[in-house]
Amino acid sequence: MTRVVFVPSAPLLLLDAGPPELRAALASALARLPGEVVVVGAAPVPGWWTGSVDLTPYGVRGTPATDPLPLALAVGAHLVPGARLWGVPSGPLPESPSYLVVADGTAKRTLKAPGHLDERAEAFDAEVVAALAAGDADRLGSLDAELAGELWVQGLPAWQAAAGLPGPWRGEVLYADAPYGVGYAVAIWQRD
Amino acid sequence: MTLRIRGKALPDTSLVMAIVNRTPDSFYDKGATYGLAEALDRVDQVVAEGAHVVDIGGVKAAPGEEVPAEEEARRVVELVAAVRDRHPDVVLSVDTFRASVARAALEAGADLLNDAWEMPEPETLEVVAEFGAGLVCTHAGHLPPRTRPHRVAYPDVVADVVSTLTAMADKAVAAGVPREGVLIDPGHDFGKNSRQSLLLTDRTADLVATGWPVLMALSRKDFVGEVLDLLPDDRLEGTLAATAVCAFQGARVFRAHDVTATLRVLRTVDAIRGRVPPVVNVRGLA
Repeated sequence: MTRVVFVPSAPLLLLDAGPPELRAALASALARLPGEVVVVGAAPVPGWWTGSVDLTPYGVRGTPATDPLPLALAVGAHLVPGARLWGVPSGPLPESPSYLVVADGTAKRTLKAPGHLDERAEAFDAEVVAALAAGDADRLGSLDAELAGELWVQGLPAWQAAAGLPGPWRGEVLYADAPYGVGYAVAIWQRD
Repeated sequence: MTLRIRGKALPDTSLVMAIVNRTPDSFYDKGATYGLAEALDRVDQVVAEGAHVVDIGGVKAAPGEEVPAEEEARRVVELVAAVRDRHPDVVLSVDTFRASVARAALEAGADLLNDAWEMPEPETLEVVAEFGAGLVCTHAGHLPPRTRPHRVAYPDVVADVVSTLTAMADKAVAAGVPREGVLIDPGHDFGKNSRQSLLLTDRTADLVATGWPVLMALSRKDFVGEVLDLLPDDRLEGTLAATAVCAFQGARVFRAHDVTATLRVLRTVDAIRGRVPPVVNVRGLA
């Protein structure tokens, strides 16, 4: 059995913040990740990463790390301590019984969103959620990259990497909302 | 250092001591909580607002009607007992310079003795030690209780305060008062003109550097009033400015009439200093 859990890439997850519904969905999804986990997240260099979760770039007091992880991998490392970390875009993902894909959607869902309101954002995020719910790798892998850039989507490389995993998948969405104007989804894909 | 007052541990943040006067004539509330029912309502309110310590007094600080010890004890003990019953976990302080009143209040369940007049009755120390209670050591310019300052002058007021208070605190610990329950208070306005109180505010760090937790009693006092030429009703902003300055430098406890406003100021200062995180973490982090 292979499982893939999809979670947002928000820095506030590093601070264990966020709405209770999101926290509950995260806890529930992470509890279903068996054994060894490979975190998949956007990184400036592809392939295996090691390093530290460093909160000082976000204004949290402390000593800056000499080996800070990029955001998505830091979120993954924070959510699943001890997981191995894989930076994308890359070639095919390494073999693993389970993956944690750290990626989120548009940042233009509402007037108060980080990128203000873009009417196209809701449909884009809905497409992502539909692909996750259906376990539809082709659909997840064929999102419009140019539009994604305009909508401040940071999750595209991780989703595209996940779309390259062999299916078929049964999909389940535990959470899909934009509480702060950014499209967050927590979902699970399972393959027997 | 964690403050522990008669066994009650306080959080490692800036703290509020709420003022509750069972007096008919205190300068700001002017008898509003003199009656037992009114005083209890006030206690309920400040506890609900989040006060960490409740400070009960039965005699106004300034000169005025003579209050015999028996009458002071009656006012204070009745309220202490009632509050102890309703709020078993709140740290309960009693503001008195009399050993007999201190004893009666500690017997009734008070946790902390706030002697604002430099402890004119030395036996008070033994009483506090006997009960294992906390103690606020206050600099009052070496004046007798309820005396207004008149042309007070110090070669160095900060040095006088530091040496007086560290000696008092050391003496208290030597007498058996638990170290983790001893605080020092420079006594703004007590035996001081406004320049002297302002100087002590500016030099809070010198008091903090003694290592003793510092209590600041600033609320709506005359030194704020003279800065702004305002009466007590209009001294909130000045009080809060002084509060922020002292908290920023590390003072721990703030005796206050305005609990919610003071807590908000302290929470903000604590967040600025990195002592507490923001309650919400969303801006730029979503």
